[in-house]
Amino acid sequence: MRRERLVLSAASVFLVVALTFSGCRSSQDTIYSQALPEDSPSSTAEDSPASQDKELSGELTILSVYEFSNLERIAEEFETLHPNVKLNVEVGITSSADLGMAEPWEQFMEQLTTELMSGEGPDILVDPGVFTPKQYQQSGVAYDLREWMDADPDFHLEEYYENILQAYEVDGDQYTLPANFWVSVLYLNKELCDAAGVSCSAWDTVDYTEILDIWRAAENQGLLAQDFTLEFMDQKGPSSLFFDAEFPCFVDVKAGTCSFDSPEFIQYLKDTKSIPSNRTLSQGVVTMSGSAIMGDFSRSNQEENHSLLLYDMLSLDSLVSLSEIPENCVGPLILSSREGEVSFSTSLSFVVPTSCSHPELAWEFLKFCVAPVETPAFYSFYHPEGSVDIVQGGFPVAKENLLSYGELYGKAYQVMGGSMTIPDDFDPASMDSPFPDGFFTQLESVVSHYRFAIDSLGRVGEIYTPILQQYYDTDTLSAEECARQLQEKVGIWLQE
Amino acid sequence: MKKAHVAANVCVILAAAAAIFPILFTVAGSFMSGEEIVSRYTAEITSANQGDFVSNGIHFVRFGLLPEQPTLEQYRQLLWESPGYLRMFWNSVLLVVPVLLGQCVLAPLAAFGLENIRWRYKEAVFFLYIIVVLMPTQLQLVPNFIVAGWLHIRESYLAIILPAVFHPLGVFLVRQQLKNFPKECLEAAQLDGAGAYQSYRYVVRPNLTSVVAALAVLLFADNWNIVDQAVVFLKNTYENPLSVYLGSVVTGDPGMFFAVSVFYLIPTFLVFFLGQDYLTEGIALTSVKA
Amino acid sequence: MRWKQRGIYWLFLLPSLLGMLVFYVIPFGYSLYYALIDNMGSRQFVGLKNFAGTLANQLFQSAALNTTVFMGISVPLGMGVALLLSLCLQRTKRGRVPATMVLLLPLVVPSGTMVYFWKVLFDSNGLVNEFLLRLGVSDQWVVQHQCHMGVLVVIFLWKNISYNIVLFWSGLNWIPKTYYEQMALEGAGIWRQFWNVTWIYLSPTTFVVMLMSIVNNFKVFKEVYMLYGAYPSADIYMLQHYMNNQFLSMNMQKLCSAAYLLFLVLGVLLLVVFYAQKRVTDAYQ
Repeated sequence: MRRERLVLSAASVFLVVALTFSGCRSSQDTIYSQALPEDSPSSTAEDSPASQDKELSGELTILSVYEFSNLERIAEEFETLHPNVKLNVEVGITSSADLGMAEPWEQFMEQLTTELMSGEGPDILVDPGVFTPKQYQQSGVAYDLREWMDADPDFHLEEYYENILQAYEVDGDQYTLPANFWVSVLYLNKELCDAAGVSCSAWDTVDYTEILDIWRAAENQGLLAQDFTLEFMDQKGPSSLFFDAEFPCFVDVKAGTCSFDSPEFIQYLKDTKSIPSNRTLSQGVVTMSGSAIMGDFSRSNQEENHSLLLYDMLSLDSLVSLSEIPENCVGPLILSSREGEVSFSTSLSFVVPTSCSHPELAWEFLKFCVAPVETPAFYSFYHPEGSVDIVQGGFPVAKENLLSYGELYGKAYQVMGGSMTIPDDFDPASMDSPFPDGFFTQLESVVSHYRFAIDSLGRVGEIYTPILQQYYDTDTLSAEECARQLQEKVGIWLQE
Repeated sequence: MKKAHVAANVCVILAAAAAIFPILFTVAGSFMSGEEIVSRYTAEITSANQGDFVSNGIHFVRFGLLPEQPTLEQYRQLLWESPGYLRMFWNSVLLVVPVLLGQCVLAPLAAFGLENIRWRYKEAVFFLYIIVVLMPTQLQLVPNFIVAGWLHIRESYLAIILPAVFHPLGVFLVRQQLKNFPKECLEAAQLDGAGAYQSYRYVVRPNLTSVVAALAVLLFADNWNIVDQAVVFLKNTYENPLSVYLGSVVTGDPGMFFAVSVFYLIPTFLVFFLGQDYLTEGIALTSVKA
Repeated sequence: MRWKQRGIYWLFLLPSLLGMLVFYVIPFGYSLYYALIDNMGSRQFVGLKNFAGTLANQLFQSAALNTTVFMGISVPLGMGVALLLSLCLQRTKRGRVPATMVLLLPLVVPSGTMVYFWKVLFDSNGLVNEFLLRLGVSDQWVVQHQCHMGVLVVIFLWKNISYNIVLFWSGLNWIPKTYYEQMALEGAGIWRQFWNVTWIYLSPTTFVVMLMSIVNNFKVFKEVYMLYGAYPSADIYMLQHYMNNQFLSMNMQKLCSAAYLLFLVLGVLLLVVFYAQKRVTDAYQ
């Protein structure tokens, strides 16, 4: 009896203490309530697209896996055009800084897959590449958008970059619709190129063997600075820089085979192991883009050659700077695999699960996001009263939009200069094009070569990144062992 | 006999040491600051862990049970500044207690009923109880989600509590134990005029205490650590039980993580302490003699 | 009177049976349905095509082999050691309470915390590797000869032995002391006492332990996943990994067909053991 009484009293003390401290419930809900979209004033629809013929109504839930800063504004714009429509934008993984309680990735994935498979998923899913097209096909949880595209008389496939759309196709079915895409370009140190006897002109493709040749030649001639690193600012690091480009050479997703145990891949590993880099294990990927970084790259190589290449994501606003390439830089060049395959990525792609309550409405929204726009409006982070800009700097998938948005961004950045604000009298229609003739034609022909989407690989990156990191950042793995592990694990992923 | 005793004691001591070692590690970690934990156990060579064993560019762990710079900071933060963790702790309690109560009432009743019904397919039903236990969690999630939708309990704790209350383990465990129960006692009670419920309550039930205690301990262990169902059914982070936070690899401050783990282990001491006596009660034949 | 008596027993059983039907048997049936259709979208009945496909998949076969090896090692080991420890606990007089409590602690340690400890021990920069390297073994050898299966067995045993101890302990305490005393009076030694009394009366509990060990064998996947990721090396790629990855790929039909094949094998095994122990206990009732 005595012992029990002791225990009971200890338990009650514990109870009281804990209750006291968790008693302040009211403040908790403010701490932990999900980030609710703030009530914002309806945007002044200055340049709204041509108004739709039919009256749309209904309510949709759009779930975005990561926070996509523009999605709410896009939804609001759509709601302004169709007053009977309500769009709820939810975010899957919020970066909640309170007590480190951000939802871990695995837990969110578990929740999402359960919801999708039970038919209780969102109406539209913004998928940054968590599922591959093949997974959508085999599971049957998403609508085949190709059927909708064919059935809709307003949708004309020729108006879009078909190669971009087809990169997400599987057996003729299209489950993912990209709304924009990003291409990456390289700039090389001109002095080192000349020293190696390599001449490149704008928009040439170059693969890793050529880059390594330039580096070695320059090294032999003693042209490199003490602290030379191959890549300026080490944005991607040797484990990613060329691997993403070479991936299609070694993995055939459609056939379900991979050839990491081939001598070519082992040679690739050995060649790239010695790339000079100042990355450590913990450094993440830093991406910066824009003309500013090109200036830094150029300046860093003025006195001594500190780096050979600059890796950059080309966005609409950096198109203007393409005509002002510094003297000691060569570019823009496209990094391709040894077999000439070039890859792109997207930042906004839509999937419509079969649990969608209003498929027609969802399709209208998707069309709104990708359709050619007569007069594009410019939205800048620094000028938020503008109308919404869906592509957010990436290349639009509609061909017309590339031209019109490109021009608009070019003019805007010309006018902004370094000030980052648009003057009120900005009138793009009255301005001349800042681009040389034939610029966009050339850009289009470059774009038409892209066939491979990095986002269509799903989560295979989780498999190979730790192995590659271990290989490049430490000495515990030999090239053969690294190749063997990759072959084993990626093989498993393909065979499932 | 003495040798057997000594050997038995040695085995138990060894096993207990192996069992408690990781917990000592956790407790030690809870008194270390986050930086110390990281510097000890990370693979990187940093300025803080210069003198440790290193090979091929990897820093090896510097294991230790005594913190170099002991700190109570984590506990202070936990108890004074983080109502979130405490709230999640109470969510855990809210989940587990109904499950324990429900199972401890329903399971022995059902096992007694199953043991005494006369039906040809009785064993088949029992075998069904067995086979259903084998379902892995991933298989259960989607159908449970759908069923919870039908019952309109989807985003509440009931969606987690109800499947746990009806988990076959309870019936299964008790029924196996009932097989050892001497039938004569039951028949004697019935001859005395006791109805089914009375014989259950006064004859059988008191002797099932050790099994029910064992069941309670196991259920507590399973449900205190529940993660998957909570992740799927509960939308808001602050509704999660604490096991969800502790059910993933350490993100953020490891010191805090260990402190929360220790806090999480405290109720288990209580449960085991209380259940200890019940666990050792065997069948009391003397009380059964009618 | 008789009929009413029987009816009451059904009433006792009913709530639990209903609950089990709704929350366990329906999902069980649903899974069979998913295994027989082509996918969640078109839901066309394809019969046994998924089963054939799964069986023919080489990955499934190697995963099944690894699972069999893992189960075959860890389940008997867990049961044997737990039984031994339970018997030892019976013999210890002093310190039994704290010893039992300590031995039960592994049950409630959360998986994230435990995985941190296992990582400290078994990761590539962990204690075990450090020990080997200090002994002078080359690091290539260490990388190539990682005994992953051994690590898994250790992780499983650490938690499962506690689980089994609880079950064996309550089972052992059910056996009336008088049986032992009777045997001792007849002059039987420890071994005969064990074999004739303990083993017989423990067999229902042993069956429970075996079943729960198998179930826990699947549950340990959580720790393995946190330690080695979703795609571990081929020697520990088990059915749980296969099923988990299918789940995350939303491929319900492959998941369910693999699970059902597993049920089939385990069901047959358990049926055999079930009837064996039933005969043993019935003989002595």
